[in-house]
Amino acid sequence: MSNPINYDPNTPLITESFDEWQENFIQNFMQLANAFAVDHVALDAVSENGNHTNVHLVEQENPQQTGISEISAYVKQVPGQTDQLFMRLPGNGTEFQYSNYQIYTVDNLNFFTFIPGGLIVYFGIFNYAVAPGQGSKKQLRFNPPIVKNIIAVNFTSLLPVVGAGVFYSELTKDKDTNIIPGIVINAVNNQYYMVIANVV
Amino acid sequence: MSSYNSNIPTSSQYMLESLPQIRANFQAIDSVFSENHESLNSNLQGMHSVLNFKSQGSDPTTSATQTSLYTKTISSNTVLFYAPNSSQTPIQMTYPAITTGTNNATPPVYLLTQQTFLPGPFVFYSGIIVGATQGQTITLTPSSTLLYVGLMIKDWKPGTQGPLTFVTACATNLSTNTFKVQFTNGLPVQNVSYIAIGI
Repeated sequence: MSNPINYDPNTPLITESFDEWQENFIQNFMQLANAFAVDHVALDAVSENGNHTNVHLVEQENPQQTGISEISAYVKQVPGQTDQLFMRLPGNGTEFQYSNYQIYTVDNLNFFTFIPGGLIVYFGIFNYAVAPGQGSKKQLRFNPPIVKNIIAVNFTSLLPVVGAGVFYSELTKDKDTNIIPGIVINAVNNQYYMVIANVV
Repeated sequence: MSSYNSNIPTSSQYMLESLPQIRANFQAIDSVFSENHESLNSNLQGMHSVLNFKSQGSDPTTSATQTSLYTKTISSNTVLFYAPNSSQTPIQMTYPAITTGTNNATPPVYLLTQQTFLPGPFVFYSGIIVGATQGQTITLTPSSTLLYVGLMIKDWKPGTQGPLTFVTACATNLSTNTFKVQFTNGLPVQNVSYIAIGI
């Protein structure tokens, strides 16, 4: 990062000599070039001047304004998460969280990703093996356990077993964290699953 | 509008004429630079505070080592696009509508049906149909052409079939943004969870 010293927008002054103007000009041009070089191809680059090399988005407190034909992108902190990318639709329209929880700790059967709107998608294979005394029910737990509301669930049998259907119920809520770490399903064999959930 | 003048100073001017023009240019640069960027002289100068994308009339050209984010108007809506390198086919990244999360009630309640989008562009629907009946027509909003609908029975209520008989629900008669709910026979009213994708 450049060292912001002094860009002076109020130079030159009539009381200054031309020598002083020149010093101020050099300082301003240097500072401008340094600042411009952050995230952008430098002013004095051989080619592609003005293009972006990277886009650091500095955390914002509030939704950003959008004109009638504009979309804005920015980052805000999400409670319980880190900074996340937000967007806002044209004309100061709907603001939505684009990115989501990024700490991936999944095994080779269970995965998750995010979709815009503060939603998370859990998917993978549910290995159905009921312990003695559990009847036909088993809980499918989600990792990371950050679900606040399950919107929809879909299961598909891995094998064409007779009676291989599945249904789910009884959302289970952790009494301490007030989050829903899993659901109870009834099945007769292993299932592919997909769960859509709110996490904010 | 910026007062920046890229044609000063001129060789015919006295220095005292150039002085206010040069200062106005430095002030204009200071002001314009702070649009979308952390301002000059700040510790984070040059980084971005926000990216406001003005709608473009056409897709940008990208070289082998460039990609591009930009907005374009599609059917009167401004949407965000990602242009891969070498001017490959751009990908639409946003959709003009999104409805997720909670309602405006106090306390807020999560919406029973929600809609978002996937790059492509695809409209992504999910939710619960409370008390779905055999053959019921379901209409999803916003309108699209449905490509995929998956149904799942929630809180199963046994019908004429025994409690150990597993039952299924499926979507038939897909037509634009509507479909019909079909159960295996003998089922009473069921709550049905759905995941659907349209374009």
